[in-house]
Amino acid sequence: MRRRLAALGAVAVLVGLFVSFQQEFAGLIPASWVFVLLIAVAAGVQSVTTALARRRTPLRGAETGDPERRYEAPAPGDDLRETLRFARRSSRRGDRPRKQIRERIASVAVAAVADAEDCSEAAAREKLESGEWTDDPVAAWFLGEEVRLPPAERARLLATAPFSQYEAAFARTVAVVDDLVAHGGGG
Amino acid sequence: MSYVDAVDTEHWAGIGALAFAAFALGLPFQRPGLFLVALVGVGFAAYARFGDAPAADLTLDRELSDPSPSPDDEVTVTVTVENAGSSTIPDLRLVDGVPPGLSVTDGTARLGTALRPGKRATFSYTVTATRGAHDWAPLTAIVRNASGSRERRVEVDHETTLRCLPTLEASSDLPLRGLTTPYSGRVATDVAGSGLEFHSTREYRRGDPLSRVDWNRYARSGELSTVSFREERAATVVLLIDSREAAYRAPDEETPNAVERSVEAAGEAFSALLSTGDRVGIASYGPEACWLAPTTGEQHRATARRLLADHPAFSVSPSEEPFYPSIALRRLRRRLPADAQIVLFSPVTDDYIATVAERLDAYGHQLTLISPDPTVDDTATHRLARLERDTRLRRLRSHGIRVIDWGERPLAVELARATRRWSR
Repeated sequence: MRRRLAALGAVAVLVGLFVSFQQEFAGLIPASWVFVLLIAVAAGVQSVTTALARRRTPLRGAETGDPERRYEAPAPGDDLRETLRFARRSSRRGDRPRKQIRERIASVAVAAVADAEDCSEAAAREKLESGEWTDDPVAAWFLGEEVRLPPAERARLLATAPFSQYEAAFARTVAVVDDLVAHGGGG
Repeated sequence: MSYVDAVDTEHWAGIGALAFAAFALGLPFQRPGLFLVALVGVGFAAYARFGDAPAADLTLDRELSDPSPSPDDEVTVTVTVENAGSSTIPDLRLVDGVPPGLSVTDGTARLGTALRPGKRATFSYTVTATRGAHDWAPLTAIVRNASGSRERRVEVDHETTLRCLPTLEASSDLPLRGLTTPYSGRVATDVAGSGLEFHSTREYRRGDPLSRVDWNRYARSGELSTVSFREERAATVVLLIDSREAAYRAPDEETPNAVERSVEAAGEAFSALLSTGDRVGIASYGPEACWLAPTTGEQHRATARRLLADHPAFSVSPSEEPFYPSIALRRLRRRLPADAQIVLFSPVTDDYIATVAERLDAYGHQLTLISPDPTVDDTATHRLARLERDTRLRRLRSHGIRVIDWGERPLAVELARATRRWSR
């Protein structure tokens, strides 16, 4: 198509040059108002097409990076940010990252509960599953498989974080576990 | 010098729209001015297609004001590029390959210029020296044609290395565990003999030194007895540095990462142990294997200093080589002398290294863990990582491993605290 258009353009230019030198042939070219308007419309359509094509074409250039800066190591926990982003999805695709995150908090919480309540890790895990380990309903629901979140708490969570209830529940659970580690749950 | 084929930058893509729009307006309204504007658009479109990015022939010279500085010294890097080709380079952008372990503290490592044949361009910048051997990557030159519509990437190599060897500062004495060699040293053992700390008394035997006879008891009961002290012996210590990718963690951009802190601490511990007559070795646990067998002497000190400064295992950025943890652990066990105790330097940011510590301790190499803390507490994810690390350290302590959780305070302070705690 492009070749045909280019050939058509080339023919038009040649005809134009020929007519400019042999002006007696100018009469052969239709110069009615409708014909001129038709060419103007075609040019207008082409300008819009070209402008749209421009918008679709990204600028290309070599990436030079940032050699002036030293290697920056990530902080522990940076890897969780990506997992948390996937876990926020309410679809089934979020199931696996949600499980990963719950397992990671649970392993810390089990050790903390076992320390705080002076029980075995198996007993601590049971407490986690039944939600007995904390008074915080959100943390109990986040880590407990048998625990349901009361509607009032769910509404409160929604009001606190309308766009990221999962993240809010995650942060709250981590804070509760941290408190348990620091004060044995009593502080 | 290596080239990459020239590519379209698409910088002028769509310039034809200007010509078409001016033509579309100028034709029905019969405005000559708009026809001229259309011609300008056609001119630009032709200009964009004119010429290719030249295949630049560049020569590079890079000079360091001091190729062997001390840590934290400022080093000025002067880069000179010459156009050795026969064509003018209308648009040349130069970016120097500063090593990842160095940061530019003054000036910039890049330059934009045009260069006629035989002409030179020079720019300079300052880097702050840090421990290690830092090799410069090739300088990247981005060459464009006059309109900027075509671009070519050229890499110009010039071997430049900055070597920064820190001195091995001795920290306060590293508290060691009871596993020792038969040689005399400073680790108090449970063996009765000569030393400083009281151990027991026994019946006098002919040949016992008079200074160890318990004269008070002889005065009271008339019986000769000999006082025995805890015999002090030297230890064989291997300083094991965790240099896996998981150990390269830092709380922020300003703080050195955990591997850098570990290497610094290992240097201090090495010097302190060598001064007290212990046999010290160095090993890495990471993709790049490093092993310096435990021994003593000034020659050994110099070797260790060089090794800690520029061995690739202790680079400031993680190695890209593959790592096989089980093979590395087996190789390490084969090399460890039976009477060697281990001082492991690791941030313990994952469960695996905690398992390695437990296994080495269980194999009889009494292990002490010095753990630089890279965690932060600003977000929930970071806080969870901190809690996970705390749990791992608690678990190791409960298994009888000595753990020094090294925060922001100097290592000597943490060592002094640990020594007080362990001597109770």
